[in-house]
Formats: sequence, C-alpha cells, structure tokens
Amino acid sequence: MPATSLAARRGFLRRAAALGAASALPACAVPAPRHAPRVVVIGAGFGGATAAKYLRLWSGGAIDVVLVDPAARFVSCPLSNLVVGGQLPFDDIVVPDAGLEAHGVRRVRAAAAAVDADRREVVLAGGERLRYDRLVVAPGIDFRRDAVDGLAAAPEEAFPHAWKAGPQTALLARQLAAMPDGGTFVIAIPPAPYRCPPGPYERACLVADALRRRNPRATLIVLDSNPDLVSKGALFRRAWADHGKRIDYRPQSRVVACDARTRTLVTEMGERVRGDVVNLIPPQRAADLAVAAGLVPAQGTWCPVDWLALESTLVPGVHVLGDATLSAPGMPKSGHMANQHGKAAAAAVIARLAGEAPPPPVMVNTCYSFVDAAHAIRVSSVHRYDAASRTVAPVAGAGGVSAAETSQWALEAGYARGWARTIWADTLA
Amino acid sequence: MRSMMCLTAGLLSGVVAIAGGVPDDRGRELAATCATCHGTSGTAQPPMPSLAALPPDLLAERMREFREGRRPATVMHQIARGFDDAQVAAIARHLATPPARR
Repeated sequence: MPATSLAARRGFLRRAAALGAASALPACAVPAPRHAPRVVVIGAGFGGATAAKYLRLWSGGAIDVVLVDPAARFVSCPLSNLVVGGQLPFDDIVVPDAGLEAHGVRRVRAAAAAVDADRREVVLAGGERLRYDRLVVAPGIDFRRDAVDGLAAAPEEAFPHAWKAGPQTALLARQLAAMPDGGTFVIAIPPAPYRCPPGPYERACLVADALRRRNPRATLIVLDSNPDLVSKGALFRRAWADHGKRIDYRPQSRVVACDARTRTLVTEMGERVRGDVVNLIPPQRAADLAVAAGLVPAQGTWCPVDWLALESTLVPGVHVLGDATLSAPGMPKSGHMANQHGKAAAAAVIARLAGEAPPPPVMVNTCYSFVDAAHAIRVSSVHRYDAASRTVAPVAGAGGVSAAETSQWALEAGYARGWARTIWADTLA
Repeated sequence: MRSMMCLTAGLLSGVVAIAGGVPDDRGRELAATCATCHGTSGTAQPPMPSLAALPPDLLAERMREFREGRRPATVMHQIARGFDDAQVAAIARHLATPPARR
C-alpha cells in the first residue's frame, strides 16, 4: 500500500476510533465515559470563530463546542477603513455567521465575566456557569483609556476610535462626511504593539482620498506615538506622495491628555492639536476578560502563552489566541494571524484531549491595506514553531511586501477584496 | 493504535476520548494555513485561486516555480519560500484526499 493511502487510512481509523470510542474502551480497562468533551470558546472574532469551526470539523463533530460572545452580528475590521472613508457601504462589512451553527457550534450570546479554572467553569455576566474540559479564550483587545488624561470621562462622540468595527466605524464615517469645509481631521496612533499594525496608515490614506474629493481645503494631521511608521513605511510614504494631498505626519507624538470640550489633544512634547474630527486610537491591552481570568501578569498588558499549544503560561488548561496574546517575535496582531491561531489552537486542543503531543504550529500572515478604493499594498510572512527557542518565529527568507510599482497595486486591490471574502468564509461559513 | 492506548488524560475526567485523527505528515494542519486565502478545503472566493482542483504534482510544481521566481506572482513568491518540499507534498496529498477520508 503506498504511503499516501496508508496515512489516509490511519487517519480514517483514528477517526473511526473517536466516533466509536465506547467499543475501544474495554481494551483500555477504564470506566465508561459520561459525556462528550466540551470546549468553550470565549470570543467570536476571527480567532475564536475559526477555532470553534475547526474544532467541529477536525473532530468529526465529536467535540461539543460552545462559542460565547454577546455580539449580535459579525462586523469585520478588515475593510472597515473603506467604510470610514465612504468608499464602501457599512452593510458590506457585516458578515453572515450562521454557518458556524451549521457546523454544530452552539452559540451563547452573552458576555463572559470570569473564568473559574479550578472548577473548569466560565462565569457569564448574568452569573450562569458553563463547564468545560478545555477552554479557548480569544477576547481581543480593550483600551487603556487611563493612559490619556481626560479620555475616560470624555463622551464617545468627542474622540471616536473606530478600532473595533461596528457603531464606532459608522460614527467616524458620519463625522468625516459632515466635517466643515476646510476643517482639520486628526488621527492619533497608539504605541506599538496594537491591533492591526498598518491599519492607522491605511486609514490616513483613505481619509486623505475622501478629503481630496469632497473637502479639498481640509487638513489631515497624523500624530504617531511611534518613532516612524510601524508597518509598510516605504510603501505608505510613496502612496501619500502620490495622493497630491498633504498628510501632516508627526512621529514621536504620543498623546497624553485630551480636552473633549475643545476637541484638543496634548502630546508628550506639550504640543496642542485641535481638530474638527479627532480619531484618537487609544493605547491597547488584552481585553478585560483576559485580565479577569488571570491570563495577564500583574505588570503586563498581554497574555503570555506557550506557542506549541497556545496555552496560557499562567492558567493551566486554557488556550489563548489572537490579538490578546503577547505576540511572538515578528508576529502581527491581525485578523489573518488570529484565524491561523484559531486553527493551531484547535489542533492543540484535539491533541490534548487525545493525550497526544500538539503539532508544532506553522502560521502564515498577509495584511492588505487599501491606499484608495482601487489600489492596495500588502505585507506577508511565514512563521514556524522553533523547539529550541520554544516560540513561533518568522521563517528567514520568506515573506515581504508589495512591489514598489503602483501598477501592481491595482492587482493587489483585487486580491485584497477576494482575500476578505475568503477569510470571512474560512472563519464563519 | 497509539491514540487508542493513550486515552487516560481525557478519561480520568469522565470525558469521551477524542482521537487525534491526524495523519503523521500533518497535511491537515499545513493545508489549513493556506485556507485563509484559498478557502476551507481549498475552495476560494474569486479572484483568489482555488487549490481543490489542482492535481498534487501540479501544486508542488507551482510552489517550486514560485519559490524559484520562475512564475509571476504578487505574493506567492514570498509565501512559497516559507515551505519546504516535504511540507508542500503533505499539503498536496491532503488536498487530493476526498473530504470524507481526511
């Protein structure tokens, strides 16, 4: 028998063993099982939804998967900057997610408030408890509003972040469309690491594109906490030069205070910047649930994990994935990467439940950024688990960015839209 | 039958054991890294190319061409350099296996 079909047959036999586990048990001389293993997944973003779907697919339906998230619908962060700029209708980033239930994923539309790891239970905001055999936590980010004086008390409309797709995206789009003629739009970028490294620069491109067409006398100021563009710097600078619309880019301009009444930001250098629309993207950390669950160290802001199985180094039996993780070297906080985390976590959970070693993860990332509705630039990388350093590291010689020729950027834009539809389907359908 | 003898971790807690069901070449997990752009089971949304219909030898040859810069690409010349021949062969075998037998 050729190796190929032998391997396939072994896989089939193991699957059969899983489905007919009861018949295999007498040989193992252990008590009869009481229930199918249950995996609770907290967070239905790109990471959590992918983990839930692939746990069902790869276990042949043998794992009971419960997906906990209060959101009534999935709104995609990828492509949401096109909505901010008015280049795409909001409805186009609302993605159907009923496919998850078709895979047998059970949805609990509630917020998780805490994790009782000793009893292996998730505590919901209403007090109800969900038992689990293994837990996957994909909670995303929350904002460190306390890092900017005056932000916690400011009304939402004063400084919209639009960094979680949803009502905030629509709010910022409305503010841009309604900005006075010749007004000032300000984007403030937090210190790295934050969700979607190229995202703020893509937003600057698309806001500039909108202003060029609708409000040509307007000013766009970008206050960057970082010493230079965090991602695709040379390509973004080229795009900005081509726009014919000056972007006033100011590096090392971390915002430390704000005044909601006058829509003014104060940088650490003492500079005061007033805007008609102020898109303040606050500094970020792992989401509240991760903190409540003890997955974030006392002085830290992200969740450290053992990258072989994406298991928390702080709470046993809990897998953490997506933007909330303390990123491995060269690893971006992106929806694409979260989708890849979801699959690695699903494989690790299945291996743990079978008492086997998790497969060493391989992960690929690609992030497209639109510079206008018809042109996009890209960064890609391949990451592989390295047993010696016990982390996931970029593969040397692989990955890179788009070609410098802008003729290629039209091709990239077509792929960017195809990429969005495909990752949505791979995650949710 | 390694997986059938190693059920203790799950069974101690009274849980029905799950067999890993993973062929040893890890083609399933490796192919899943492609699925984000090329679709679950290799069926993509246009213009992303689907991989499902590609014969295994052709997929391996395409990856070699991308890696060596012999085939025009926007991105695959950069991604292909992250995978070795054994990994590509495992991916190709997995995608060529009918879903019911994976």
